[in-house]
Amino acid sequence: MLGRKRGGRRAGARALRDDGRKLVLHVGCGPFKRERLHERFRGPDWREVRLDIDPDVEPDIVCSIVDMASVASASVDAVWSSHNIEHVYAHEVPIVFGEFFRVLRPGGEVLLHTPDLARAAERIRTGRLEDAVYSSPAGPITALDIVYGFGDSIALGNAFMAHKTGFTARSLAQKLRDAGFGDVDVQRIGVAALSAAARKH
Amino acid sequence: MLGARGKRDGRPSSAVFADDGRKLVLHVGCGPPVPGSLHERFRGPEWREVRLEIDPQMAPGVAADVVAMPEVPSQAVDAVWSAHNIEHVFAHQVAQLLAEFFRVLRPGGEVLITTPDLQVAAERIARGRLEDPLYESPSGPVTPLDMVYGHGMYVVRGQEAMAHKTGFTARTLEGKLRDAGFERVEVRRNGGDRALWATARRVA
Repeated sequence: MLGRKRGGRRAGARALRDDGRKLVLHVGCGPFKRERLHERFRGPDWREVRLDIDPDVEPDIVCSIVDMASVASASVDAVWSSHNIEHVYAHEVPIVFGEFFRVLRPGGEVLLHTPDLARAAERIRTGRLEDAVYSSPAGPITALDIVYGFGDSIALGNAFMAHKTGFTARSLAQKLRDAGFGDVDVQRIGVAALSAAARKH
Repeated sequence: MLGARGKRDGRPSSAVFADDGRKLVLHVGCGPPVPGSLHERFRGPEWREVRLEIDPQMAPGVAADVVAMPEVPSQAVDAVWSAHNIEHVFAHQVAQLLAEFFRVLRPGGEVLITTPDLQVAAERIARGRLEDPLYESPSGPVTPLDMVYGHGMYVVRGQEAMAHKTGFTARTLEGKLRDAGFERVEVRRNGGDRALWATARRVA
């Protein structure tokens, strides 16, 4: 299935070799775009290692965030996860956070973004489930889209865009602490998103 | 994969729908044959239940997908009973599913649907109580997160078909039933079971 072999421990070891820069593991990276990497990691002191389950987006490492066996323990300085933890089932979230924790070096940090279900719920409780909450380049986004994934994209056959779980600031902070992280800080950002930072001590 | 009764070749299962003088209720996404799973409205002697389910292990009368059920002839049944299955399809498949319910009903026939009321879950989630138990079910405590995405316990066991892929409020469900051609649409909430109950009629 893979055009070029990027799975397995050897590919992981190659991608994670030390060249003097700090490593940020970009999980669920999607197709390469400079802007997809959080600006915090765009400086010359950082090197991005891209990880995705889809070999077509040409990541450095092909694997699922639920099992990152090809990424060595304590091998990266940061994990950047933008809108992918809502794509696993609720019972898989502790496994994913356990993997983020495992691959980080002591002192390393995870930074993640995910939809804010409380924002969607504020709309839904007043009966505005399918009213536009904001406009995206792909079209209007409703509370239903925030909860279950962008409907127009799923309708085109992209079932992997479906959201299988979700978070509030409180539930996300608790799950990060349960995974062993300290200095957990969750902020509500934008119209309906959460930004969480947490450290492995 | 399918048993002898579960034809999936698209031919109408005419024997199942043969007229024996009783009214027919199509129980879609019926699950296993459990007493009480048929709504009491359809339990009288004048009704005959036809069970439809995608999983042939549930021994349905018709093995079919609710989104496309060519196995069921048009205008073949007097009622459609759908309990907690319209939330298991993607949002874009809901219109197709309701169009199928409409197609298989005879003029004058009625659909009865129950599905989680997302407004009930949203009341809790907006107050930050996403994973606090909302009520006890036979399978354990149910949280607003379970109401939105399906009961975690089933999904853990590999029953991924139990995952919810969409959801409804009274207003959106009513609109979708009207869009599918139904009339006399009524959606009730606050019945104490945190669910929506919709009735709608195919008039012509």
